Amino acid sequence: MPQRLRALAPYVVVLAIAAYFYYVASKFAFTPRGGRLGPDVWPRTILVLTMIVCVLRIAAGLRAPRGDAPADADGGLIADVAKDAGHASDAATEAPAERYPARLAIGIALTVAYVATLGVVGFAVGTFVYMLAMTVVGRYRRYGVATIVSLTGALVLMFVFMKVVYLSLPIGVAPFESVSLALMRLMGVR
Amino acid sequence: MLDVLHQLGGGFAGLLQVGNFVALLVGLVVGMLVAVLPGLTLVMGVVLALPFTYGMPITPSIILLTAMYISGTYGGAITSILFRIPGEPMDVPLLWDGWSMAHNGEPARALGWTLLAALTGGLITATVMVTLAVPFAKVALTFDSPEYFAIVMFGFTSVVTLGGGSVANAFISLFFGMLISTVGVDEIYGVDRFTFGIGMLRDGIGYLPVMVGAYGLGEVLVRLEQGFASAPMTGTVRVKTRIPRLKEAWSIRGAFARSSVIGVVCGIIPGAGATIASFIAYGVEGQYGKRRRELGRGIPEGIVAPQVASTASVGGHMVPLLTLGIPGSGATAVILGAFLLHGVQPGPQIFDTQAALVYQIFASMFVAVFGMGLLGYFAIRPLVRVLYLPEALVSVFVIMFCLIGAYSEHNNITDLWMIVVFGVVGYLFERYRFPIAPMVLGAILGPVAENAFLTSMISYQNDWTIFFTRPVSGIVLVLALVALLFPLYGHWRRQRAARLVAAAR
Repeated sequence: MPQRLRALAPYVVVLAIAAYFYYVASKFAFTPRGGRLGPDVWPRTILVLTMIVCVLRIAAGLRAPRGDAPADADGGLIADVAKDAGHASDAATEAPAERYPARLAIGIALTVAYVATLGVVGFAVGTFVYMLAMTVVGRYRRYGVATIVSLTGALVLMFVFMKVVYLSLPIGVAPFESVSLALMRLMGVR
Repeated sequence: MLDVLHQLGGGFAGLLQVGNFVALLVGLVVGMLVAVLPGLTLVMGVVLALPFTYGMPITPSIILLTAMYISGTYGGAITSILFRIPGEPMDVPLLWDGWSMAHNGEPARALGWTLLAALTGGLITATVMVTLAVPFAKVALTFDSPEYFAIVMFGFTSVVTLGGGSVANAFISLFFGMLISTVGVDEIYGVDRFTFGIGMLRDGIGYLPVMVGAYGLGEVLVRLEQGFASAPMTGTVRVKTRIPRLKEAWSIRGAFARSSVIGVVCGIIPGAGATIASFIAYGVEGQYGKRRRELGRGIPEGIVAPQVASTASVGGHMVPLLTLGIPGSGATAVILGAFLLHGVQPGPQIFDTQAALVYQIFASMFVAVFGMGLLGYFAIRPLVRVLYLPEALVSVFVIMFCLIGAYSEHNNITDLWMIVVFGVVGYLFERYRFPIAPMVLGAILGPVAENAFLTSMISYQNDWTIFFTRPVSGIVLVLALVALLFPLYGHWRRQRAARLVAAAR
């Protein structure tokens, strides 16, 4: 995809989503009350403004000479001060040297799996496994330390939130429930 | 005034209670640690501390969070100066003169200037807060819905235009946040808005899951994609602080005064914050300071200006929070959340209904400033040791606090899905350079804006000119317009400068 189109793609996506939401808002079912604005007015105003910004941004992007930065991308007070001080790069968000999209995908998948299974496996077991897995995905290579930190972390969090903050964390279903209950007995949590 | 001092005295006495004092100490230490760690931001830290306040009485809860807030504006300065690693975005200007001074062989002097600046900014902001809050609340009692609408609009335009980067992206982020706040059952008509038949959306989306997800999980996901590759530590670890002499400090009193005013004003404006204050103060010093030509080479003014301004912004932020119930920053939004969770609604009435609480918060700010100074002077060595903790281990605890924080609000696992969703949204925003702050402010102040707008329309028979014809709302909306035009002026100025340079060649 040409660079210019790639730069404009997020605005096209946002424009399409805003248009769809505008359509949804126009279908809100309500009975107008004398003289009062309906529940659709505020969201529709927001969505119209969103679409205007997207259209302006896309138009500016298409009009800009090839290879130029977006018209407003270099603006802003912070960038100005940094530039005047001769340290523009300190205030800029520089692209990292390396990206690990696979690790990111695994991290998101692990988080989704943790939330999805928390009610079944319980806080103690689920948190230990999740913390350990995320630490390894985060390129921490001292597996022994990771295991100890994950185990201790899960137990300390369980103790602090159940015993000190009186939070009712998920204990899971059998057979994991018995593990949670045993740990709770050990910690003196009722 | 005597009444204020009397009440403040009561506030100091209240701080002697063990619970309040412990909350203050813990807040100071945790605030500094959070600011020192590069992967954690001050707002994230305050967000992550919130679940711990659920089981606490309201006074220590608010003291804990405000102490974190104030010490968080100072902790990151230490790593900026010693290691060239800014703990917070507001500490970036400290790299230019703070690190340069340290690099020139005077790290103790640089740390001393920062400490003095944070102390001065903190004391000034606490004094201004105590002085301004009551008159501000009295004025706020006369405000009607058009004034509230105008103030929120001013906050929106400030956060969009002052933040830097693409204004279009900031607007889209803001509108997204405002749209999030409309999800759920409409209070007047009882109509489902954007719920798509999903039961959990009918209650609406609170701003806390948005904040926790976007700032907490989203930031961790960004760092995970980068392989948790922290910047390598450079420089020496000779952590000693030398406080400047009074004569030295007096010689740059102009920098102290200018930056204090900038900090407080930036704090009062919703949307502008410590980072904006820090950069503006540095920029003003570069324009009007006596030694502006030497700025960037390691002079005290370049350290004092950003540090005073960022710490001074804290009290400024607390004024609209306490007197109007309007949080102007991420951290004050969390503090507002803590107030609401304990059944207290900040606003002009709070000085009548919860005077003891308010003055204990005020008193805690004064004590927190001195505590922060002592901690910075004596505990600096163990504080910087946390930089050596592996980021993967720290991050996994950050995620856990995000998730537990979300779960603890209603003891409901479905709330965790909100965190995951807004975590991914936060990641996408960072990835495609859409700023997160406008989205969060939109989600926080969106309902205030909508209610104020609709109430005004009902009260004034759908006459929209009322926003411009009432004096206060009219002036504030004009200020909002000025804030909106500010980037256009900047763009025009840059283009003109480029043309002049081209013509000179």
